[in-house]
Amino acid sequence: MGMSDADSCAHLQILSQSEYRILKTIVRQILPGASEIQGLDLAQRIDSALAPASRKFGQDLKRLLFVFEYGAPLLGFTLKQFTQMSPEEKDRYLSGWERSHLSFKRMGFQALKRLALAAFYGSDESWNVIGYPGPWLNKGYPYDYQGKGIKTFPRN
Amino acid sequence: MIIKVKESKPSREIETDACVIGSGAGGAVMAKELAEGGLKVVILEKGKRFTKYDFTQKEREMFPRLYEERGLRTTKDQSIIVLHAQGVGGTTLVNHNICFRAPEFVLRDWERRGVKDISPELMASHYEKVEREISVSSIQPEEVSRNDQIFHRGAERMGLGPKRFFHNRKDCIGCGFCYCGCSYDRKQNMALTYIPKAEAAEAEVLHSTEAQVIEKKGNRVTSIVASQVNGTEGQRFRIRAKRFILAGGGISTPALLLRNGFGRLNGNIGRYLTLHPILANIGVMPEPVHFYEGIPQCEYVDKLSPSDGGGYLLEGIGAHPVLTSLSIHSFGRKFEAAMKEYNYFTVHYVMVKDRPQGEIRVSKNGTLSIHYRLHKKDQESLRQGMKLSAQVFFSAGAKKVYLNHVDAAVLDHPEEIARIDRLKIEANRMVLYSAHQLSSCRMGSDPKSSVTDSYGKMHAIENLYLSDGSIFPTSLGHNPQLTIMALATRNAQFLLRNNS
Repeated sequence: MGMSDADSCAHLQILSQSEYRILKTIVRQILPGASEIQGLDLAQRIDSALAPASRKFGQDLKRLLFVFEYGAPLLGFTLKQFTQMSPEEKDRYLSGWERSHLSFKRMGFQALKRLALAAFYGSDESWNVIGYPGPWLNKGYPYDYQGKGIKTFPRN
Repeated sequence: MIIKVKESKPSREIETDACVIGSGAGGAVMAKELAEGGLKVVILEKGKRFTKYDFTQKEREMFPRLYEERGLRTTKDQSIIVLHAQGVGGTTLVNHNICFRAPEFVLRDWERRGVKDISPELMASHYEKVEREISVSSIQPEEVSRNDQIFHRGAERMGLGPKRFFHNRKDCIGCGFCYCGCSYDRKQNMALTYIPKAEAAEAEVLHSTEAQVIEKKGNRVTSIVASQVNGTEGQRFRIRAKRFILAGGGISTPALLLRNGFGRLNGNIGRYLTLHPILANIGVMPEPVHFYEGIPQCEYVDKLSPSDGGGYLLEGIGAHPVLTSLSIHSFGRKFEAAMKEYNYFTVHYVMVKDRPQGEIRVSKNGTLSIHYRLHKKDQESLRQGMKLSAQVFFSAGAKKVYLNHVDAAVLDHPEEIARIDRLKIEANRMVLYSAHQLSSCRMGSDPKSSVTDSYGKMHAIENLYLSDGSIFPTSLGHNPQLTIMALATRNAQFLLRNNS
């Protein structure tokens, strides 16, 4: 698939190396900016998050990655596998799944997107990007409701 | 006849008057009322016993700990994310504390369906009792979040008459992390209210303990076999009781019954499920809102329709990055740019009072699946709710709307709202949630069309009661915790009266 060493991972719990590479490519298309953050491996984080869950979720993901990677020729889009497409082709392919008239493709797209979003936006790395202050524990109270109206939580 | 007995060598045998399975709104109330009524009560709860120190205010950590299937549960077609908490206190640990009495037209409808003693007049005293126990009060004007101030402004300008919620919090500090558990013990959930009172009346709580096998002889349940879960060494219990109360919620209660063969006794178990589908829309304001701060839900507009039993509520809602991100369509740089406007977001949700279109199924190997398809009339409610939401956003001054639909992901101008009329309302073109799973073992007078009688006792079984949202004859249209608790109060009194 033309992948480099950077596209392998030594700490996988449920995905194979090839499944990991497919997932990493998908996540890169869904969240390109996040994928550029050094040291942040969202595909590996998804693998870790699913490991303690019911086996069903891991099996479903493996099946979905297989269909996503090898389904393009079968589903009439192109003869290439997903990971072999150009960035523009990948975008069109993903968009085709997102808006498809076939419900299983829309379902597959949403499942992959949700995993990517939960992996990124649940993490401290994303909070700096979007300006979210994160938990308030140990930072004091954000509001004072004692008849003085709403106060804004002090920000950095 | 014993319906099903799996391999089980329980290490502890327990004898009790009443065994309650589940400690949420239905189970905790039933346990407390029965214990105070003089019965010896054992409560089984699959989840852990959390304290405020367990709640880290991080979605990534709290979803796996607090929600069923680590927060990954969806309908079979993945079109609806199904949120249901586990832990002592059940979903009251994570709900938004909204306290509604059931709309009068709903209780009248339930009466027409053959449920006895359910009129608003008869239910009033049960509601009053519950409201005292959990400290229900109106959200005060100075407590309204910035997000809901914007919602109020938009709705008021349109003449929609927004109303403020009642809630069960005391001295809330407005951190906005309700769905991750309350780190300050301000939410008056079951773990802080009813459960301690049940324990004071000598009820025993076995947490991290899952009821698995229902043993039955003739038309009586004789015992329940339960196992410790959550990584602890798997001790097994057999609880023998005079009566059993299932209160695991609209998914777990029918699932337990179906896994134990009760589907052969009553074909309605798991059917007629409603989910109160929720769709979140996002407006983008010219000024920062920080919509995730403050009480997450303060105001609403009621668009329920007593004439056809459907309709919806439009509400303001605060949420944190993971849940928020799921409601924005598109992907790539465009998506990431949208999320960078996060602090300018103002968010609504549309909650539909849905028809009974769902079903809980359990496969031969015990795997649960939730089947659901939106009724055409409910699709229309969702569409109308999306339109009204967009109108309220623009009326409040939003500069654009991220609509929760893949084919109209951004509306830049009020004139574009008309596009919503042409959208296909079908699975996975929108991201929907369910926080209320109801009516999957509904009450009624006729065993051919219901699972329990008017007081939650399962038809044809002498000593098995249900006490959660599964017994609602229809969906409610409003947040259900208060009605689940009021019904549990009423049914506990009935059970105690008929104790002999």
